[in-house]
Amino acid sequence: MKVLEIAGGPAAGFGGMLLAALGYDVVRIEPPDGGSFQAEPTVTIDEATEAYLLRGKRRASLELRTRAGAAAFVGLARNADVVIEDLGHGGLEGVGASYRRLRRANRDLVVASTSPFGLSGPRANWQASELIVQAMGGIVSSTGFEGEPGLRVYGAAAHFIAGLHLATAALAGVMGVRLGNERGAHVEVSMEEAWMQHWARHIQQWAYSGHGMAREERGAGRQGFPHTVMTADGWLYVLALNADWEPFAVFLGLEEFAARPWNEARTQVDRWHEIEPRYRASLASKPRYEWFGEAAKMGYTFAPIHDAFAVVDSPQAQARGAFETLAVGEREVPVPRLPFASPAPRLASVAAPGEHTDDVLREAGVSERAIASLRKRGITGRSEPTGVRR
Amino acid sequence: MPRRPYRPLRGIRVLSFEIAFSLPSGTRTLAELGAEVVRVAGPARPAGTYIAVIDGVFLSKPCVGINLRNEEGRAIARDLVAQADIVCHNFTPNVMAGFGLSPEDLLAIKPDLIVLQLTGYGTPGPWAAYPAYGPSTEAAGGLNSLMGNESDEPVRIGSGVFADQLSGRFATLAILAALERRQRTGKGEVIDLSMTESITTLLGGAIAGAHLNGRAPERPGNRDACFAPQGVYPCRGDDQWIAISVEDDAQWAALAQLSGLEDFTGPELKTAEGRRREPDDIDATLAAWTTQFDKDALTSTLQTKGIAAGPVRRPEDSHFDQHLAARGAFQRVEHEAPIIGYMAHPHLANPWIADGFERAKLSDFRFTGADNRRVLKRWLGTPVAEVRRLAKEGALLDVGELLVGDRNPPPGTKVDADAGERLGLARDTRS
Repeated sequence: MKVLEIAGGPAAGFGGMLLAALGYDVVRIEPPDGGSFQAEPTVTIDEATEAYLLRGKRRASLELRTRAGAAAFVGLARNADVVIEDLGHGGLEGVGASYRRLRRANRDLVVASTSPFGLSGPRANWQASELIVQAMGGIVSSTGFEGEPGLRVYGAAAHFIAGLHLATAALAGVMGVRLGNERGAHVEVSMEEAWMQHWARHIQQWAYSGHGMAREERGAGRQGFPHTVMTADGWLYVLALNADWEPFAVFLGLEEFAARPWNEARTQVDRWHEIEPRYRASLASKPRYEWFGEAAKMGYTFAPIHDAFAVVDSPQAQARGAFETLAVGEREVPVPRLPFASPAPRLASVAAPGEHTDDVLREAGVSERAIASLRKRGITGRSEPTGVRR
Repeated sequence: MPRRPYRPLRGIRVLSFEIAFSLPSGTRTLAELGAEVVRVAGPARPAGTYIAVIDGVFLSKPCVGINLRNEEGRAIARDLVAQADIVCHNFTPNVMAGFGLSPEDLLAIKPDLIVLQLTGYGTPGPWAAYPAYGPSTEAAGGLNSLMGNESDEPVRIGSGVFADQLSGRFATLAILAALERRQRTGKGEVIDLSMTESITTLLGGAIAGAHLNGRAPERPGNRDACFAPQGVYPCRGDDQWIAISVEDDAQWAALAQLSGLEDFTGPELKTAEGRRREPDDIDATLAAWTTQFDKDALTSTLQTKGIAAGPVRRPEDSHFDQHLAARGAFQRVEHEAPIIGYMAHPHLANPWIADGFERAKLSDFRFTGADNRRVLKRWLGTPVAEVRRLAKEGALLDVGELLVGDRNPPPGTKVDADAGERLGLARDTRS
């Protein structure tokens, strides 16, 4: 399966990376002068994230915003299965690669697009950022603490999830063509709607019952005790949904708070200040993996709160080979593999900008003379590293 | 608009032994893409029904009830497996193995089968059998440690199903990739998917960066490395907020002019670098200004000036959003019998629009065994009388219609008793 990724933001970048990790031939088309074809960045990407998103892809330089560059791209699309992009409302047209034009070149091409609010509707061309998408899609209103501003989910999560949808739409579309169910199609994904899926329960609960999720109270929290607690060697997430309080309190070493009236959620909240010192002292008495293992035996769903180092070093990640090594500049660092085993090779390296330009054009049947002409006119060429913001 | 939905997976059969909520979100996507997804349910758990219905992940899937503790029940399951392209489950692995339905057992029934198992921590590994809910895997996957403000303890996501939805979407991706491979090779395969690792894929840059820099990233709260200011600011009304991202200096100039705030006119604030030096002061001034306005009105004003802004949506807000309505983001799912007094409720559809097609129509939640006759006839050619006998002898389960009761909210929760009226939902007229 051949995939063309039009260099834009991290949504298409993530989608392309997933497809590369699945073993597909992903060619990222970048402007010869670096940067991306996206007019406005909607999230800040650092060097490490950029390397994570570039791994496993071939990179070709092609100035799509010229007549000859756009024509060359359409030629590439003629031999491709998929185009993915996140240039936003009017973005494809802006680089001379409207879906109508691509479809004329290749009736079975699957084009997957994402944009903050989708390509249609009254808000299609609104300004957005990662935070804006997360806020409008929900979750921000229920994350954090009552009376304080809601909090976003870390990083470029909404963009990445939109990228996951792009990769999925690409594969679904290709399978539709192969199975003879559909011809090529243009599938567009609204980041806002994709993000709403992760909070859909609360949106729908309001329709059924007139209420949804609210932010936590500081202190005892929603379940009668704080979920985030320091143990002897790190943070632990304490979760035991629907657990009977009495055995749970005994398990936590809170025997004196096991019986009435302490087994009532309201009492736990109202008199949390009396329980808290004992709760924290008890949790701090053992390492977190010890708590985690013992809780699992009881059916409680505790979990270690891993940081960016512990998540790599955890015995489970090690046993599953969840990470691989990626070269970033002079250093080698771990990055996550797909969350499931894939027969595809590991993606250990990042190609240089424009490294595969000539190969990609040749594969599409462009003559050496035409390739030379494009280079001479500045429509292709080796570019500097793309718009990395540090 | 064309008159049919986009159905690239028509003809693909999926048999899903699934419980809430991770895998079902992925198989629902497959169903919306035209695959025939059959949910296999065991004994119903009435306590879970309310959440199962409102969550929506079980929509658009017929349901067969099979008692896997019964030998005939297991035989039916094996017969259905033989007719499927994909079999998936989200139990801990020993559960399915205990019923003779381990991945090896399943591939022995049908060698070109695609088998997917989804668990909290994945298999193999020392935590393979540990129980987990989505929020546990968000913590273990590294997300909580990066959430919150710098001075805070790690913060959890206020969703409860974030990791469930994410791993479900990865399940869809993994299944489609396996189908594509099978089409080329003719071979089946086993996919083992970890919810925790699904979360970790979102953090690849942070993890790589931490190892490059030798220190874990700080919790940034709502701030951004470049956009300044960026945050969530109060608006008029109870718990009403707006998110604002000033993405460049031109947007800042527009904001300074619009707000008329003298504090924002200083030359040192003309660049993002300057503004990042005084984030707390800027946030406090901005918050004092935004608090006078309605969040939607202020959003419109800011967007008109080219400033990235949006209301922080509460659960009810999206239902009344004209943009989402224009795109058909919600569908009214009609119930066979009323649920909490109404004959239909709105649910979110898959967030894709295929140009020239309509979105797939969602069908209602099906109770355990509601489709025994239809599915067994269609997949196995089993006569109705035989289905009746199998149910009578305990191999098949059919709980009939369960009453879905309303759930009491946590103490102190504000309840909008008029939600149904505001949405214009059709009332139960039977009583």
